[in-house]
Amino acid sequence: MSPCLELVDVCVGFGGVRAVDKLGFSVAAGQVRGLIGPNGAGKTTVINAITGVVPLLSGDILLDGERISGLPAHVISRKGVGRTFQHVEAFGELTVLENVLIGAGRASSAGLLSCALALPRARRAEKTMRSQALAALEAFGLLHVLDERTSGLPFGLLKRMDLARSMVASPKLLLMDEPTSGMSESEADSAIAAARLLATMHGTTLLVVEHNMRVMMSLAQHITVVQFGSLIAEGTPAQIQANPTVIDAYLGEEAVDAFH
Amino acid sequence: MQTSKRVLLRCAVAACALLAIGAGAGSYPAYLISLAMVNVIAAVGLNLLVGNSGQISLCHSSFMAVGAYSSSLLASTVGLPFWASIPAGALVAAIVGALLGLPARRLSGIYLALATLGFLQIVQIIIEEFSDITGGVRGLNTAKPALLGTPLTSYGIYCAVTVVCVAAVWLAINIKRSRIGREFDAVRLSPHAAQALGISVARVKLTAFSLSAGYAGLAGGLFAILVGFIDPNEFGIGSSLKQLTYIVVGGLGSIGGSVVGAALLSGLPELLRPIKEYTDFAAALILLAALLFMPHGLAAAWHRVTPKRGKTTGDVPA
Repeated sequence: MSPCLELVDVCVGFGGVRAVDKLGFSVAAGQVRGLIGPNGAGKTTVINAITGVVPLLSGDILLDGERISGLPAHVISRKGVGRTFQHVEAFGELTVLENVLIGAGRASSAGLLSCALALPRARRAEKTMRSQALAALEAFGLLHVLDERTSGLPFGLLKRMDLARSMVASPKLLLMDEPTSGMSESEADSAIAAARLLATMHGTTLLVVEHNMRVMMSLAQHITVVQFGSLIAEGTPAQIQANPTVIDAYLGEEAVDAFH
Repeated sequence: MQTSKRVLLRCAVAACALLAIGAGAGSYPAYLISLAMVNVIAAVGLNLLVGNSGQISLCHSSFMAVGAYSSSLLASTVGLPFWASIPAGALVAAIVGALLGLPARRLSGIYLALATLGFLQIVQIIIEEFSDITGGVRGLNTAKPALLGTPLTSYGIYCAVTVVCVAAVWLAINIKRSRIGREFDAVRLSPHAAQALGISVARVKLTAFSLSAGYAGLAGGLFAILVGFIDPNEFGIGSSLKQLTYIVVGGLGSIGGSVVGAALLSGLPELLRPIKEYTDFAAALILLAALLFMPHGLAAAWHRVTPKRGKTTGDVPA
């Protein structure tokens, strides 16, 4: 069986800078994969490359063995690649529910005409989206704010909204860009637990960029470490914590101490 | 769903009330109300584009012209009855809107404003240069609308305008509450997040442009039969700006705001009849005052003064 996600010799550059340089790794279906590296290592660029937001200079990205690199971003999304944002990107003037309904929309097939005439087909699609959205909001403990506009809400809450919005359409692969930044420890734990539960239920493969090592070490089954856009190590959390190259590049002596 | 039936019911009640008012009012007030309703149609369509999808247009009066000329010409040359020629004119405007939207979806802000301004000039030139068809600067007489061979009375025309106006508002409400409407907002508020959620930003922008042009075309066709004559001067930059004033004063992104803004401001020339040389001045003052003191329009002001109802749909109109 082909892996859920496969990167083959991926290069991404901006001007003269190689943000991602001949990066290759693959993630098995259903796995929780961590992606770590020092600031500026190219982690977010990897996410942007997979989601089709930045073009590749060379290399291929495959989803379930099918090439997705080169496709427009919305097509990649519709193939089942979801993402969360480091800075949420909430639709500020809309409510929490509406934000999540937009996430649920990719599964709807009702067109302009049936929506305009409020035909039964559109009403059924709306009902389905609504129940999916409410279920996702419930999973992340957001039912109490569903009619609140997102523009005034605290960041930790918005991060949970972002998780609900990206998971509501049950993606095959979810790319999480620092999902717990701005959350309190307990908030982070419950959000991660909810994300994990949903991922297991829908068979979603997770690729997580996260700076909170406590969260990362408990969440990821397997970790990929990048530096200067290239892969420097790969292994289980225990192997990564013991890897001298990783410690040197990223974790640092104090960070290692922090685990023990 | 319960809410969609309630919307339909409210629209039906509004239509009946308007029909009754038109029957009771004299022919001149009824004519003014019809003109206001034509403006409401144009404003509702423009607001879907500007307020919801976040694109600016300075050429909506041109789409009105396209609707007015094409429906009138279809009526006079092919002999289409008015109930077919007006929707056909709206369709032509929607197609023209889509063709303009194709290059325009790559532009935004001031560049889109300039591109649409250029289109407005082109339409004006076409109207003047092809005077064999359009009547040029002298204008065009429109065929008297008739139903089953009998010409429509002025109340008949009023009824037609009312039905189309209420239907147009109903369709817009449905669109705004649906996935399509939320996609318009998503594209305006964060194109980045929208495409990550599977929304084709380019397609949504094009849909909004075409739909909005269709609304303007519908308004144009009705305007032509209502006035009985097409004056090309009605479709200049001035009326594009007037339509933008309606939606800014009413509230960007709000259907209720579009309706109220267009209806109130359409009555302005009548109110200011004693000092009619200052009408444009007054309209400009109202626009400035709205921008300064209620940037989110009457709709937001209304929501501030009315207590929050137990809303479940979250359709905040601002």
